[in-house]
Amino acid sequence: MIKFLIKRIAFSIPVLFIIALISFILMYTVPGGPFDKEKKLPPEIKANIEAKYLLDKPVWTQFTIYIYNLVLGDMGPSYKYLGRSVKDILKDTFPVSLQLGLLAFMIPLFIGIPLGIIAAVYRNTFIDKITMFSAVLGITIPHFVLGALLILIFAHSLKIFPPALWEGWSNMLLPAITLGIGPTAYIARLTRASILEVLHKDFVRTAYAKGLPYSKIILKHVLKNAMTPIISVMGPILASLVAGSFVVEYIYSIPGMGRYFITAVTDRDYPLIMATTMVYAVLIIIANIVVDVLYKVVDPRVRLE
Amino acid sequence: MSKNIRIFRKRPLTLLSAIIITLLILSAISAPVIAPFSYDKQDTANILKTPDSKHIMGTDKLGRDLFSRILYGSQISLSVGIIATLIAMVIGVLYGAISGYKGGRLDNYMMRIVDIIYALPDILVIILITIIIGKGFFGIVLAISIVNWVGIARLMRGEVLKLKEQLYVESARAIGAGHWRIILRHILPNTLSPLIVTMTFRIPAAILSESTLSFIGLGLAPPFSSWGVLANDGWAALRFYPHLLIFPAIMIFITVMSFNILGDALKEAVDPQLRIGGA
Repeated sequence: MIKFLIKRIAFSIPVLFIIALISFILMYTVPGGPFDKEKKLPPEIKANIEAKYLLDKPVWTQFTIYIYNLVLGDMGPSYKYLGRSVKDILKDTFPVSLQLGLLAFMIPLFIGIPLGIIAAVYRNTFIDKITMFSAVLGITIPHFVLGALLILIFAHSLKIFPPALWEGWSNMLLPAITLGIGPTAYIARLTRASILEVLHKDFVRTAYAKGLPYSKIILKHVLKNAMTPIISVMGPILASLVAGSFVVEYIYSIPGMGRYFITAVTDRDYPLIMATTMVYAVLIIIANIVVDVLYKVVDPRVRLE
Repeated sequence: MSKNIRIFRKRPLTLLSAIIITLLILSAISAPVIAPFSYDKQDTANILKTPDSKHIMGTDKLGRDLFSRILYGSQISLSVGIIATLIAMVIGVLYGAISGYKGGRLDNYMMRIVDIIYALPDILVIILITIIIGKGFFGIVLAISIVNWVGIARLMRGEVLKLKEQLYVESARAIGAGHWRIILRHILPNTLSPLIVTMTFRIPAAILSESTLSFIGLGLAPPFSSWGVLANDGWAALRFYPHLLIFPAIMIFITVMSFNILGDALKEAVDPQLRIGGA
């Protein structure tokens, strides 16, 4: 197990390095720099600013310095938020995105899986059809459509929840629902399909033959064996909830990493763009490693290599 | 033909989706004919009107007819979806076919590249690419294709790995057919069904990517009035003029959902074992 972890972590370092290299070079080659404003700066001042941020050095030197600092834990200064380092910004914004992502993750976990079980148990009935149709709706509705609808109904019309910001529980509910509905629908469908597959297995027939009660068969025998595909998508889903909340953070004006990423792109704040990209890449790599380990926990037949 | 009709039997929703998609494409093509107003015609007497008999979806802050703008917008939204998907299909099919057919070390390297692009969130990669190639119409289309081809390449590789061991491929090789002839004439035709199924899922995904980007202000900008751009306009006025957001949002939602329902039905028709259920 420990050997597996070390191997996986060691393998992810070159991957991260390549992602950093590619994004760095790509951003360097873009015409127009971060300090090209509508108001033209005098050339001397611009040269001074560029010298301060090392932008006058060749791209390889810049990249080496960047990676060196990154390893030491320094992600450089922000071009836009003067006097703040990228690390400070991430320190403030990452916990917000993490909180939102974790909260949204509760919905597929505690609503999606039970819905899938119910649909599978009552398969081909009205309950099943309604659940699966809602799942299609949930998978296809875009974040900004659902978000706008929720704001219109619950914030502007009914005035139950605030439409924006991130100050307390009442602020968190609408964004979490907006973010979590898609994965919830997806998980419900997956759970249903996975259970239906296991229901045909021989050991389920044996369990029936032994005279076990139906609820016990479903909850103990079927569910346990149906969990593998569900677990395998849970990791990436959690990563995508934490890393994929740009739109939701934009709609609800949540001061998270995603919203800063959007403004960083508009402002060409390269160090901030780089850092956010790297954080996302790390999140996804961790999620995949966790999934592999969980496989082993759920299904002892799986061998880690 | 009978097979085509069978998809729709006992599936009113699938039939409805197919009709909606057909109507959308037809109305996008004939937008200049059926739109009651031009997309930039300003009716200064009726600014920010809620829907009435003259402007059935209301007007925006410059007095432009929203229904006409949505009709013209469908041209842009649909063509982004279709063109981006077609480009991604060409790249993905070729890449996947080569990777799967050649196998060995080349396959290994080619798939690692795919893994890296696949791992990052789509929207993130699209945004990063548009930083570089710009966010005009073709910039967006290209960025979406660059993200989408990897999934198709994976699918294609899997299909090729399966098919290249088949007897008819072996006999084609035995009578001296070249690699390209085998790939294009013998393998490709047999991968068409899964490719068409993916296409019905990729098109709405591409439409959604474009509208999401435009909505957060990182995609198309006027004069390209795609549905996402219209939704972005409406977002600013959500509180007092919700119709400006609601109509474009409904259009995007209906389009994406219709394609997805149709895709689910096609998937089942191609592979009856995959009865995941649904509409």
